[in-house]
Amino acid sequence: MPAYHSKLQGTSVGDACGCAILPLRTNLRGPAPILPKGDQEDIIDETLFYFRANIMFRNFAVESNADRTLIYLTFYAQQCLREMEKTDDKQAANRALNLLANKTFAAPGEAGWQLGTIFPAPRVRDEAEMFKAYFKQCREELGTRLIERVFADGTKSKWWQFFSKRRFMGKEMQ
Amino acid sequence: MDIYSKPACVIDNGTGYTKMGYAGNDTPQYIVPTATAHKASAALGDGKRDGLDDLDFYIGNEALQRASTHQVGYPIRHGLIEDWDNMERLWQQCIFKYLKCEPEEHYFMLTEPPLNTPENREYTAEIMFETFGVPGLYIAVQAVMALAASWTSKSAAERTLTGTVIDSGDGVTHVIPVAEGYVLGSAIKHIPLAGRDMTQFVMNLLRDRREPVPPEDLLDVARRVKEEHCYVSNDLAKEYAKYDADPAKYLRMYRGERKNGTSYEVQIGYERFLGPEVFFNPEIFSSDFITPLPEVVDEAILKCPIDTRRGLYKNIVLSGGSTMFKDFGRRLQRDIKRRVDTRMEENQAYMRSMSGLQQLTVPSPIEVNVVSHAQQRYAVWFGGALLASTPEFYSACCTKAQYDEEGPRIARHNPVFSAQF
Repeated sequence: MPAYHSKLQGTSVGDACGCAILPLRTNLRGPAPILPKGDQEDIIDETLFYFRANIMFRNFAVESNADRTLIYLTFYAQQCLREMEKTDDKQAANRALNLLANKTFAAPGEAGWQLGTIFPAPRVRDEAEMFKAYFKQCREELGTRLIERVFADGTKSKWWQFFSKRRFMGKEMQ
Repeated sequence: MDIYSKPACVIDNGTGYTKMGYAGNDTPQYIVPTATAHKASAALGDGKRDGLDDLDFYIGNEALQRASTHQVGYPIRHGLIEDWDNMERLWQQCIFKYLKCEPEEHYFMLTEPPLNTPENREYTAEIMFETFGVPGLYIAVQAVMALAASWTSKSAAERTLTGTVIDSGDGVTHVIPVAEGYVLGSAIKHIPLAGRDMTQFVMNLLRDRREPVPPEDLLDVARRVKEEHCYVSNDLAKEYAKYDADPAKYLRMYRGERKNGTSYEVQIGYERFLGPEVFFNPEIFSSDFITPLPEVVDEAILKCPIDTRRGLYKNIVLSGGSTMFKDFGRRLQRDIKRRVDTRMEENQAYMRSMSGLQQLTVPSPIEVNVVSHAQQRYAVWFGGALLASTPEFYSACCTKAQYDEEGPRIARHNPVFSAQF
């Protein structure tokens, strides 16, 4: 039973830098198609559900473009947890994650990209723009949902926090 | 009272622990570390020998306690006896100090690892017959004894000496296929992960979570957590979700005491199922060995002659303390079964596409069966004690008369015997 793969490839509406653009359940503006509010699981739910299992693994055989989206978001979730190490306060954590989500970040192939060659470099400039726009939306949404889980009972849960020490696939995003 | 009415002595010398006791019992009477301690000066021969050196010699826990004043040695390395002098003295103390018997009056059963050399058996026979004067000796292969131990959980018709033994102790894990009592040496697989690595992994998790354990107790706490609380999960992600849904049911508390008398509490969570997961997904712990146990077992069986494979899949036997986790057998069975079935289907599809026929004779599905039983922890010793309590044992032994006639050569081969109850 190796690492968990995304089951959402079928709902993809396109891709950017090898990542599937998957619908999100969100109020934030961006390129992602919006899922209606309901029980339907989106890629962010999936990432957070598999996060604690997947982060233990050193290898991940990419099977679909949705897997790359999952991988990127797993890295980002770990980065969020590291950011939250500094504070025990929900408000402060919220602020820190908001800042992190809105920071400029690199797309594959650009200077400062840290995740190596799992993600193919963009073929056209628009692709990198798409990548950034989509993941900006994802990052913000993931931050809010992660905080709800980590601060489920009002205080910070050590059962989530200690995963900030693990390095998914032996790498991490700074 | 003749010699056959006294129970045989069964001594299982492992790398870590020596298990000893009398045939017919269901647990070893003594389990001591396979360690020896003697005065360093006595070995140098500095002229102070007074003939009492042998008295200043300790084995087992007593040896470990004297680490500061004596020289501690481990005569067995990787299952093989390396230091014959100390081994002889270790046996001497086993017989006279622990089992407290007259070696001339009991048959002996010793064990050896698979792929032991015939020369080692000769040395062993020499020591047993000449130093101790035992009336009869049988040197059994550990894996075969582990198979025999699993008979307790089966009906008489199913008692075979064909099967795959998974033996996992503290240091290393072996997968050993055995056909009709003979070890298939070329198919043996070793896995460099076992109990010690699991303890290490649990320890890392506790430390990462900053549980308030004093550093000097950490290893011990991790070991106890592993032994008392760990189990095997079906599915990692779902297991995490279970903990989220009902923490009170799954989280455990460990209470310990510091050296100065104050107590501390450790919460135990995910390590309960992550510890044993090391076997099924080694990459979560180790970076150089990443093949899961079910895959290793499958590969080992595939290396065996084709006519033995069904029997090997049907009887996968667990042995050793690190296989004792709840649901270990079930998970292993499921994972192996899944691999075997997938391969079978692929073969079928391939055959269909090659022959162009839609109707092929379909082989009966391969039965995969992992056997867990009550005597798993000391399975090797228990299997030995079981076989040594049967009448057939005495006819399979090498006897003192044979030894006097032919010399140590007779111990090179120990015939397999299958006891009928």
